[in-house]
Amino acid sequence: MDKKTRRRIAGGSLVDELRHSLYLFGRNKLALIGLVILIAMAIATIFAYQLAPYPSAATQTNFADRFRPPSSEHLMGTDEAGRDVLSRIIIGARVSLPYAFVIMLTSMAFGMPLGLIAGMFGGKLDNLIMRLADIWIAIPQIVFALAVAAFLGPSLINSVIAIASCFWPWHARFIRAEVLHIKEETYVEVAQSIGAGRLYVAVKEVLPNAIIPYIVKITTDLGYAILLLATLGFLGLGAQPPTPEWGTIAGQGRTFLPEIWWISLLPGIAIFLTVLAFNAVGDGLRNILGVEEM
Amino acid sequence: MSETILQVRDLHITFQLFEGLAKVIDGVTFELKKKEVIALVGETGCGKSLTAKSILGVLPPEAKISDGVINYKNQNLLKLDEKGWRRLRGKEIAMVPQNPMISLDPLLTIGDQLLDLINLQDQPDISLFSYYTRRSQITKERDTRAKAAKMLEDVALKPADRVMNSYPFQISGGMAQRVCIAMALSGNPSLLIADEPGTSLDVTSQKVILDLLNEKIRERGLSVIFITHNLGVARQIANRILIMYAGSVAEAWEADKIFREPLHPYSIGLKKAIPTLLLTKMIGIAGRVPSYIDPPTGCRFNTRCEYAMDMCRKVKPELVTVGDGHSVACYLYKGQRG
Amino acid sequence: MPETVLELKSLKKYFYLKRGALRREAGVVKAIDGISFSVEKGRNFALVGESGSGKTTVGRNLMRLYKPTEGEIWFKGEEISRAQGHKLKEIRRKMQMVFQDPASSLNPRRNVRSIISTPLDIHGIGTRADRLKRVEELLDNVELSEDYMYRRPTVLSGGEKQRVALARALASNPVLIILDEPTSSLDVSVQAKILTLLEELQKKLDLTYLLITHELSVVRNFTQDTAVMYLGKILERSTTDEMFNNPLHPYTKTLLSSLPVVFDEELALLPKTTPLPDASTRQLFSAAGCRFYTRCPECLGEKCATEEPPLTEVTKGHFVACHKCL
Repeated sequence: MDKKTRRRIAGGSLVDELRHSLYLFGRNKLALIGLVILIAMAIATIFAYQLAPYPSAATQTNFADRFRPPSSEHLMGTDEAGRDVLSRIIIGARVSLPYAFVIMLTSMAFGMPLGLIAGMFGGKLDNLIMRLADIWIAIPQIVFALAVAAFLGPSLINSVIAIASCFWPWHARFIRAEVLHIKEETYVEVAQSIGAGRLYVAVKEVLPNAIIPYIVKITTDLGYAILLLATLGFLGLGAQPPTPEWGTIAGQGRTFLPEIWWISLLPGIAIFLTVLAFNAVGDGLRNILGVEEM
Repeated sequence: MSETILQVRDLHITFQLFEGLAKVIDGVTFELKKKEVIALVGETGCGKSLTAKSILGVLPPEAKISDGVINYKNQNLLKLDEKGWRRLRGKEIAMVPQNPMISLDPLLTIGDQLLDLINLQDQPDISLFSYYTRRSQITKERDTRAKAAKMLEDVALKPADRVMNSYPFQISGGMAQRVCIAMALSGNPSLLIADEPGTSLDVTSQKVILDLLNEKIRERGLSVIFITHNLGVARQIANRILIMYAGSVAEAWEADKIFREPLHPYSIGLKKAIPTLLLTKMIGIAGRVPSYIDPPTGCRFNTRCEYAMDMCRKVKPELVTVGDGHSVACYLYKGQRG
Repeated sequence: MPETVLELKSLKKYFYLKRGALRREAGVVKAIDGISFSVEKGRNFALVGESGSGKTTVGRNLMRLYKPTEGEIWFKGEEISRAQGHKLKEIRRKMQMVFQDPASSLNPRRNVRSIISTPLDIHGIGTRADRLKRVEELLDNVELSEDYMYRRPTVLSGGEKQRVALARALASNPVLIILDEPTSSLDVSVQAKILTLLEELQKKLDLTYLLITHELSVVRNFTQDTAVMYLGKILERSTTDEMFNNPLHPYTKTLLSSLPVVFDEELALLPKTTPLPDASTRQLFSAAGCRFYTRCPECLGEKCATEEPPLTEVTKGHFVACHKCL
């Protein structure tokens, strides 16, 4: 068979699978809504400065216009420094979303290999890794993040480090559980009977299967990461003003509640929608990938 | 001439799937007489289980009966509402399930399950509240326990007490199968549907179960629809065999005759494929089972049939009587129009 | 001169049950308790038994998924039961297994090409281009078209899955293939096609098969030698012809008489026996006596309860472990 035919056949199979996946995803209406929201967020992140009605709102203050309620000029009003709230929220997406991904990638980088090793090797190594994870989990995440922030000084980067470092045990545990389950499958036995070593089994047989529910978990975890980031920002330990992180904006506006509601409420809604969207999309992915309730 | 207890005429069942509408059951017609045992035989996906489930009214939600008539004792089952079905199930029509281990509740002892069955059989509409408030009384009633013990002894499970106090995981597959049989017979049904009983068991245990079933069927004069993919089992237990292919009946005849001189090309193909002790060469049937979403026009076997004619690709042949108790759905034989 | 491909000598596999926090030994399951037989090149061997007989464990022991507790395994003239590392890998190239349930023996997240290529990848056979060619060749051998290369197991039928598993087993050019219930989950018409394919491949590639199954009718048509297992021991062993024409052991006779046959002519070939009591009594057997003692319809009483009958040659090549049969 020549290369061209091979590519055509391979492509054909892939297209069939994708079409089926899209259909399954589309059956869950909430997941579709979530997807739309996420796409909107992505666009906001990339084209923030083009979309924001007042691109300078990230930094430039305008004290003459402070505390304006939502109007046709300022769709979400202005804040205590006269900056357009809507613009700040759009630009804020650039802060929250990418850093949430950074948090997730860092946790994965540590959690996944450790979980894989623990599951594949078992025995003392498994025990060691799991006990380490247990200890880490025993510390409540917020407290941990607070401590780190206090130690390193409050800033966006430090809050990211704080959160990223407390997520890895969950990932390790999850992957390990999947690995243990998949190890019992017949096709793993088959590979072993052919003479596969642990590395081959781990990479070619176990990992492709373990990844599937993991993807769903990561998607929902992203929402949680954003929430944590915002929490730290709200408490003043994360991104510092004037950085327009959603939690920080909300935190700043707290002192002016309840009459001046738009500064705190609107970023809050943004956070809510994003977390909801991630959860909904995760649910939709679950349908495609055929994962049962976790 | 024995009377007919069940009549299925031109049954059509469809499934709504992602890829389209699957026309699974495509015109199934047969009759069951009193005290007769028929076997619905066919390979995976031919629709035999589905047909039986439609007689009990336990089709999955995606399935729809798009056409046809099912008459039980002159009552049209397709017009029944859930209440009507509940009056029939267990009492008139009962089923012995395929895998007994997963058909029994793993959280209750066998005794509990039997007692529930005995006490609630006549109250299909009991409310949850009444069930729980009466439950403590139920387990203590002496004669109900005695009845349950007798049910077990009837299927040769001794000592009955030990089995009653066991959980399903503590008994063997063969014993669980007997419990399921006892449960099915408890309501004194007239029609029994046996869905591949014994397939999950060893061959020696299977023989014992089949012998037991035979005994009970004869004892109680039951009419039975036996579903199986094992042609040998069908031969041993049924009076008549109906061979199904891709959603309809291809051929029907008496059990001891149908494999001697099969007429339908599919039946002939099956006969050639069976491994026997006579060292006959095993030959498979070319091709594969058609898709139900885009099935072949006309006779669904035409894509694999070496005798296929033009007519076969246009109009589906009807099941026509060609001899005493012998019917075939194939244009090769007289009685077919066109 | 018949060449012995595989020989088992008193193979034993015990599973020790450990209970409690200190993992103390609480009991032992003697899955295989001293079995011996040999498989000649070109003569297919059937290991027959029901659930709990230990036949599946034999397969797994041969593939070294378990380590034998005791006994010897001779493969192509070499003792391999303790082989490790490099040597073990070499052996695995020459002895392959097709597992029972085709659905679970194929990784749902890999495509057909990748699955069939597994032995080639593991043993480092050939370049990437070579392996692709070999996969094409193997697909052709099992009569699947090239279109199947990039499909996933979930879209394949039972018969197709089993063909893929077979192609995988053939990839490293084995000499012996162990078939563990290869057609039990398949329809009868598909079964016939797979068995025909196996026979053709046997001739073409000079293979020998060890068939592990409970389906006697398949055994009759497919193998030349048979051994019947029960609770870890071989009760009867002979050529297939002899086993079916002249079964000696009461258990063998019971197995045969339980066969649901289709044709009347077959009925005449079955021995007449009384049905067995329930399998739940199977677990109770005296350690010293015959394993079949508690269920045997032809039991001689005390002798069978206390003395374990040894496997003895009754007629040429026909071995039975039964006091009554001598």
